[in-house]
Amino acid sequence: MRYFFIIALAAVLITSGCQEKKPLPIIGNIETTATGDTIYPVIRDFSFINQDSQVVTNKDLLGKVTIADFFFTSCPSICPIVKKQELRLYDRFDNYPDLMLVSFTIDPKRDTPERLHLYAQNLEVDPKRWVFLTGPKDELHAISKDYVSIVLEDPDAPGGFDHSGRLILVDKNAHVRSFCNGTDPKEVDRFMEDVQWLLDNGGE
Amino acid sequence: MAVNKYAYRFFFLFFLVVAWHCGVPQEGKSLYTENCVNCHMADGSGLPGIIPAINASLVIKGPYQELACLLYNGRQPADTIKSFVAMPSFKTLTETQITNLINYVKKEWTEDPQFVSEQEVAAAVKACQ
Ligand code: HEC
Repeated sequence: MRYFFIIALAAVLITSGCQEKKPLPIIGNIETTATGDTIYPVIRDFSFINQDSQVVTNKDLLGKVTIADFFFTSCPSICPIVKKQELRLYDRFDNYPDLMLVSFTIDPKRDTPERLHLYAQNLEVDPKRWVFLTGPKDELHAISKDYVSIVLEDPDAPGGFDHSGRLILVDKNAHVRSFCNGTDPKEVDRFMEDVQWLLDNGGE
Repeated sequence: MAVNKYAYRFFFLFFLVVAWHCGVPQEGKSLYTENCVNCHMADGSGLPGIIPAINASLVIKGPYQELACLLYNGRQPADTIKSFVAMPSFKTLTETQITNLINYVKKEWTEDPQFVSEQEVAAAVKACQ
């Protein structure tokens, strides 16, 4: 009987060892230069306006781990469910000041800073931990590609836009490290572990 | 054979009961998943400040007629400046589907659900057009 417990304990230890998380990859087109250097993709430079009408640039996010998404406030399809999942992330990581949520609107015509302010206020989220960004539509749509997301203007889609509802994890050096389908709570569970791993590894 | 005939009848009735028990709520649940989950969430909790929770809603606890009309006509928010989305109209659903939806949300979110028939829902929908 005693051996049984020892063996069981050993089995538990071994399997928990197996579950240790592998490092997250850098996602996107990794290129090698003629001189043999590796170039990892980064989020391009940007400058947008947040819900408090302040300018936010990519430099403000360097040094932070960010969770990004593309949405619009009048979206009648998947956005509320994605926002609900982001609230789970917001709550779970509330004691990590280096983590920030960044929601880019894809509908800047309707989503002015004032409207984003109201939206954030309704959600009762802290602007220091969750920014909502607006700006020129073309730039917002273009940057979605760096965040491995799809944004299309489509009059036939609900609310006028087609988009993927992805949540994207970006490290302190602006590399995409993980993403998930933000409409699926189970995928978000898995994504949370990636976020935790990145935070535990200093955000790099 | 007489015994067989009864057996068939018995199985037919049994099948009907099973179909009613499993089939009806099931259809309501998948209709809810397809049409409502994105906004009101699987547990009916909504999105605070944006989409109302319906797991404690008086509209769900209240008379089925009001709920039928809400689903049929949708509802524009009273204050369009402070609101972001409207409750859409589900005119494209059939009366059977609306009935199954009503029975599903009542089963989930009322203590003592009063189930409704398709005839009752059809009459209610006519009255609110
Ligand atoms: C596009 C998002 C959206 C979808 C999809 C949606 N609703 Fe709603 N629903 C709303 C909003 C917004 C309101 C609040 C409307 C208002 O301002 O009065 C609402 C209100 C309600 C209410 C009344 C709540 C109350 O207490 O006043 C019920 C009940 C309801 N919805 C049920 C449903 C059901 C059932 C479905 C699926 C068939 C559904 N909704 C689909 C957004 C949605």
